[in-house]
Amino acid sequence: MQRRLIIVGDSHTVTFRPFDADVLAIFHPGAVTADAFTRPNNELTQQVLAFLSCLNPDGGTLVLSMGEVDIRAHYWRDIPLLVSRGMALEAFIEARVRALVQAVTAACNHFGFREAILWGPPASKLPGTAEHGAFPTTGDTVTRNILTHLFSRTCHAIASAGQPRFRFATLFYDMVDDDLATDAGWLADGVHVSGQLKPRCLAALAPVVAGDAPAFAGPRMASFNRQVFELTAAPLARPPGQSSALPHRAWISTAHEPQIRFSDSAPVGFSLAQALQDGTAGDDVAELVLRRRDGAGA
Amino acid sequence: MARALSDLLAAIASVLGPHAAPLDLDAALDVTPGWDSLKNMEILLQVEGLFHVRFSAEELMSLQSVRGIYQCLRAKGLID
Repeated sequence: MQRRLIIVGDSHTVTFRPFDADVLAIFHPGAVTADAFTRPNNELTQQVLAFLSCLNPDGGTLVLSMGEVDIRAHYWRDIPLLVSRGMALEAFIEARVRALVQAVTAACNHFGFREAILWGPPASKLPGTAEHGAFPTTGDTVTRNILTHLFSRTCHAIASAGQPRFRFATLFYDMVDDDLATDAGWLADGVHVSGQLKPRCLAALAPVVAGDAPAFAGPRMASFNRQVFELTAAPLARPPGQSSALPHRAWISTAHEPQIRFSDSAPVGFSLAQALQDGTAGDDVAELVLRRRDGAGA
Repeated sequence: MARALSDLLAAIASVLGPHAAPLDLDAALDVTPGWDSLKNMEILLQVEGLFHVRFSAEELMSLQSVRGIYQCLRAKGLID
């Protein structure tokens, strides 16, 4: 690797510890989100920007680790409501990614960095792990991995299209099976990529750091790009120990309409449109899930 | 009948809780203590209920301040 890495962002920076011949510095001020980084008044964003202001922009390659917290804890809180208001899921993801890209580009311009590489989010947290509140979770693992795919392919496309100062690298596609379930072997604690796999992470970053490619996602991304996903409703019934630490129903309980409800006897697999129209059938609020259209991954 | 700015501030304050700082037009996400991204959507839904308005998805994604919400409601003729 030609230039040492300066890695900034969320807890997934932990994978790159310790400092060595490849890693010059790591700055992890907290649960930095991609969304928050688009807001200059955000406290964590201000800490990141203050850190960047202290760096020599020619001293290393800037790598930003963001996106996993958004997908795990935030996106699925807002998406059902926004989709019910007519926004396409892909449009939501693209709007979020483009806002992030704009913020990254602005930061590079301001502090003189030639470019920044977004280190993409890993496969999402395994069910039944890290349920102690430190890692609030919405949606199930497959749903979050589909969101991660949509996020990653959007980042990859924007970087590949020649967006100035924005590069992208991810190992996500090596971390899921064909049904988009997370491969447990990658995650040291159910959430973070094991430090023992740091060499593979560095290998994924290497072609982008060297300038050989604007983006890296590995060969499997293409097969997922050909798949079609659909939003369906399932009963809100989580196994013990897998409840969300977030106000999972917040957007439902405070919305005067629409409320997504259906009766106990309703079959799993309602389309979103059906669920939205079926507004008074019962008291069980639906939990929305993403699945491949052919039903795989369910 | 159009409501007043004070109604909007009261709706937002009801979401932020009894210990929220006094609000004005400059109150916003990341600026006002307690107004975080989690609260932002709750605030917008509370405002929807009070003003009998339905924000578009784009508005839900972009409204993050009292001033922005106020201007949006004013453009719809829902606030003085």
